[in-house]
Amino acid sequence: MALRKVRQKQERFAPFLFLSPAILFFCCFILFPLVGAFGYSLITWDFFTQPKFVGLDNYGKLFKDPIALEAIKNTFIFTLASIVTHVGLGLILALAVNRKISKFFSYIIRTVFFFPFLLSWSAASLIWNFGLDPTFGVIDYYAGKLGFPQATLLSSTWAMPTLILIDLWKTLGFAFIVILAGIQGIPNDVTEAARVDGASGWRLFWSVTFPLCTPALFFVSVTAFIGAFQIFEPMYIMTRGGPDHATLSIVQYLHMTAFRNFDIGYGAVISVAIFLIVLIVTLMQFRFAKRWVYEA
Amino acid sequence: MNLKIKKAKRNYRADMSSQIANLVIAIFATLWILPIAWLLLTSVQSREERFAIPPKWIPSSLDFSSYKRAWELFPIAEQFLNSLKVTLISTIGALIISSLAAYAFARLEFFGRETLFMILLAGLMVPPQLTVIPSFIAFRKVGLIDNHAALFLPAMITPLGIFLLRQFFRSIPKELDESAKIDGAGSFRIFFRIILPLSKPALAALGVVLFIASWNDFFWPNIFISTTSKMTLPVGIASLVGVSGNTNVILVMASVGMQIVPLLLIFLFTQRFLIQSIATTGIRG
Repeated sequence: MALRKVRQKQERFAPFLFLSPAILFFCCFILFPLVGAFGYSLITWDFFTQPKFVGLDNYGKLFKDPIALEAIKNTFIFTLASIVTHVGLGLILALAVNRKISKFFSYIIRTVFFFPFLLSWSAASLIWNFGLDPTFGVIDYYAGKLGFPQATLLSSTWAMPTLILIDLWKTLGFAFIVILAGIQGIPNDVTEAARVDGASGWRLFWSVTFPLCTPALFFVSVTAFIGAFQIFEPMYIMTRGGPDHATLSIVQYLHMTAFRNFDIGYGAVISVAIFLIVLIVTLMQFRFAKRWVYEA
Repeated sequence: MNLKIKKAKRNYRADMSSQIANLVIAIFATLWILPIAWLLLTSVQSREERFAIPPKWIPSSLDFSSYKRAWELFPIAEQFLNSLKVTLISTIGALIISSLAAYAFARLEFFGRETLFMILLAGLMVPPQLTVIPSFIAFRKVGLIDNHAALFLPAMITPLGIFLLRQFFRSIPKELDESAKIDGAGSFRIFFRIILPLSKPALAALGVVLFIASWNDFFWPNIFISTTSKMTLPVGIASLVGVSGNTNVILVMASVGMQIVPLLLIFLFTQRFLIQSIATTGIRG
């Protein structure tokens, strides 16, 4: 009898016991820092002197800071290119692989395209850094053969396109795998029925395959946006944001402001801006999804 | 007759498009391997070959001396152990915390369950870039800057992990818990004896994805760790670029090679599982 009472009491507290670690960690590492970021954005502080409350001054500074605006512009260009290339090429590759091909061939393909995704961004950046080195880099050499003089691939004109390509190289595997899974998830009887009705080739693709894999394409475009907007490592390691801020990303500018120049308040404003932009664009993507994503 | 021609035409066309597809794949696949292949090949070339113009691809003999020197010169072993420690603790911690919470959300009845779940899930939209400044200040206050705890503690809460496990737990037939309840089992017993054992595939998939994300993380450890001997591999390796001038470039290459080769070997054998995990959890790292 006493045992049952203990058990009952235990059961009443069960939800609390199961949830308390998650709630504790959530508060410490997500909720409080979230609130804190907004709080710190209202002060000026350099870690050492006395913090000073400045209200919304830091926000005003953001809109008048040409470097910040350029970083935001760069990041948007990078992000847009990233979404388009990942969805487009990912779809082409997935279609090219989604045929009767030998197991061995498909294994090789998945290995080749997926492996860079598993590499850390820092290893990937170093690989490309070496490849693009003007003195011994193999990519720089062959680019020379294609009409790019030495070291132009990381010049202010070409650095951003180069980084976009590197990002594609690094994460295409993810888009490819997700889209392939989407295409392979299309029920066979739907495709068969379309075939019986005489659809093939382009018709089959536009009327069946494409609409039915739009959820996968949507997922890839959302994750590509979030991932690309937070891009940091390749710029930080390879170009240092240069030449002349041509490749400076917004996260990199946040890193510079808060952890190089110790401008905490302004850094917090940049972090809030990143958060809000990602939030708003993602919500817009979901909104817009109803128009083109199947059963969204 | 006409039909036959049509069919032959169609077959021919299908064959053509199949050939084109193969060509597309072959071109892209070659482009995709070249950077890694070049790095690995160059890292075992002799000095003259390495700087040859036009570039030489196949080394005439294998020279592993740069690997040996890089291993002696850079704290690679130490940083590998740091990465392993941080990654294991954060992954296991995240799995424990997420599965406990996911069970409460999937199976227990309590006031405000859905609201609380939505709040936790909203945490998904909070990027590390937003939390980094307040976290840095807080960790500095408690003296945990340049300490591995600053890396693995924040990584232990993953809203997406809670969400995915909740979905999976819900797919487990409720009859199983009901019959255990009749036999007198409480929530904890049901969780440990029924739900967890049945969820091994989901836990493995989530675990592997979290492991990769933590192993490769750069943004956070780059800010919180400053001592070379405490760095994780990605940060350590990137810091070499500043340290060594052009003369040591080959040693850095060898260090990168040392990161790639084990990963490649693991990947070749676990490819199906790894890809499936990432495709099902949908985590982009």
